[in-house]
Amino acid sequence: MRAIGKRRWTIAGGRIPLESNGPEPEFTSRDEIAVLNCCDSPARLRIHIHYADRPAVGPYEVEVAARRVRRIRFNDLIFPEALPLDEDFGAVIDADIPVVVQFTRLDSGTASRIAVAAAAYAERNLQGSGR
Amino acid sequence: MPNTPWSATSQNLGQDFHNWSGGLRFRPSRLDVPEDEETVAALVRAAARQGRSIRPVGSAHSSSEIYVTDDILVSMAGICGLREHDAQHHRATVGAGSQLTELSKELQAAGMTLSNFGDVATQTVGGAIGTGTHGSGRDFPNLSMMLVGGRLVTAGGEIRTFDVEEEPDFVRALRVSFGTLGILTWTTLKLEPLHDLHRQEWCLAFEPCMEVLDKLSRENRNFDFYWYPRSDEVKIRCLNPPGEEKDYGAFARLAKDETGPPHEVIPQHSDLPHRFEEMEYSMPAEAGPECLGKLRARIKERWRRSVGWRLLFRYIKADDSWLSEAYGRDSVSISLHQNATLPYWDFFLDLEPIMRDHGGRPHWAKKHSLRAAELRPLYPMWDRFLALRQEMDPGGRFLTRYLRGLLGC
Repeated sequence: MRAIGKRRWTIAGGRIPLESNGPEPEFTSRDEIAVLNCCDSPARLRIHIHYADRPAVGPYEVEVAARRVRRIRFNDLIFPEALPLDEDFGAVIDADIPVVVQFTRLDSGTASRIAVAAAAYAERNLQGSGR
Repeated sequence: MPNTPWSATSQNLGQDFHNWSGGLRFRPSRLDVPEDEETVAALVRAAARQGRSIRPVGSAHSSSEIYVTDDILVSMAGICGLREHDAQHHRATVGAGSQLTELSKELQAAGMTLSNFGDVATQTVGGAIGTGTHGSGRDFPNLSMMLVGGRLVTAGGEIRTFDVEEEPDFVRALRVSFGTLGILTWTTLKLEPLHDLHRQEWCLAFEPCMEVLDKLSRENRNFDFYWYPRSDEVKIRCLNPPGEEKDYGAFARLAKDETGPPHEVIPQHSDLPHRFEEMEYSMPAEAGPECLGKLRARIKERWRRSVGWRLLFRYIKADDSWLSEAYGRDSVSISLHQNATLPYWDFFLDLEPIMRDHGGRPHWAKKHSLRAAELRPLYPMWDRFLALRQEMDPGGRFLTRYLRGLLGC
């Protein structure tokens, strides 16, 4: 299948909500990416997390199987270091093949549950394929 | 922290000695790596003449200070391997410095295996025995119970043989004694014929798991589970002889399925590149679920912001090793974890009282805050152990400042 997407994606407005309401894990407040890999080979992702007041942490290494979509909660990433909740962060996601990344947040801790979704920012590929 | 394979003997004294996690750093006055038992004995005799202390170290996976010293440190890495075995009775004599992963390959070639393992198999035989390292399973005691005989170097620098049939009380004291009665050199282990195990991991929500926990723990050869504080899910890990596995598809999602010899399918994290710190307590098995419930509530209330690591819940069969976590009682162990790069003490110290309130005994090789005054009431054989220790090592050859505070001697 033809490659769709880009190799580098970024998220600037990460902040995992601290409070959750409702049954878990369905209603756990979270920041999450959905990664679509339309290629015929697995996509290997390396994620670096940037903070406001300390050095970046990473890479967090994640694989998305060929022709699959995978949801990855930032809440659950612990290698090399768990992300703090309720703290601003940005993420730089590098993939070895083109993928599509969508960012979503569920905040179930508020009176009315809030969900937002947005495409992550994709950088024009400076290296290799992925148009 | 380098991600290269860790080895106690790869360190030189131009740098501090550090443990696996990097959380312990100290500088011994010298590090010896004897290749044979007589050299160990000579080192102890020399230490006795000079009034110095001497501590053995295995793979340094432990994160408690049981081997921290500013005097002589002896790596047992040179005394390793399978020396002899009896395939008919499933016994083998192996070096105390044998790393479990490497030893298991030798035992596999001889048609035998250890009955159980912890989550990692990077420990040495001597370290695993001496600290009461354990795996999980209601029918499986900690690894020290495989010790049925062997040889050790005494505080006087003599080589002493022992056998559980001839000196049962001595072996009960020796098993979990973290090198305070002598330095184990060769150990005779009770093993099992080589066999395969089928490992299956299933994911489900916390409460449905707790409703069937007792059944799960009784119908699987090895059973334990992780609880994940940031999703409130659990992952149960079940190992059984092929053909005897259970199907939990009606209420759980299969996450892993593999079959192999015990040393390949029980330890899952021997090669983990990222370091962590750990606190573990064992308590009577019947108190485990309530204790976990209280830990879960406290973590959700106070610690979710900074702690993403899972808790590990395991079963240990009762034993009769005097200082074993599971002495005299079928037990459950609960382990807390935190990335080694993040603060962990406040988290551990906040939850430690909950585990103590449920009759918890700390793992000797992991983080805890207890000293002799708090430990003595937890171990019915404490005073007998101390009396034997005094008899075997009146000069405190194998003691350090930390151990004197730990044992109260």
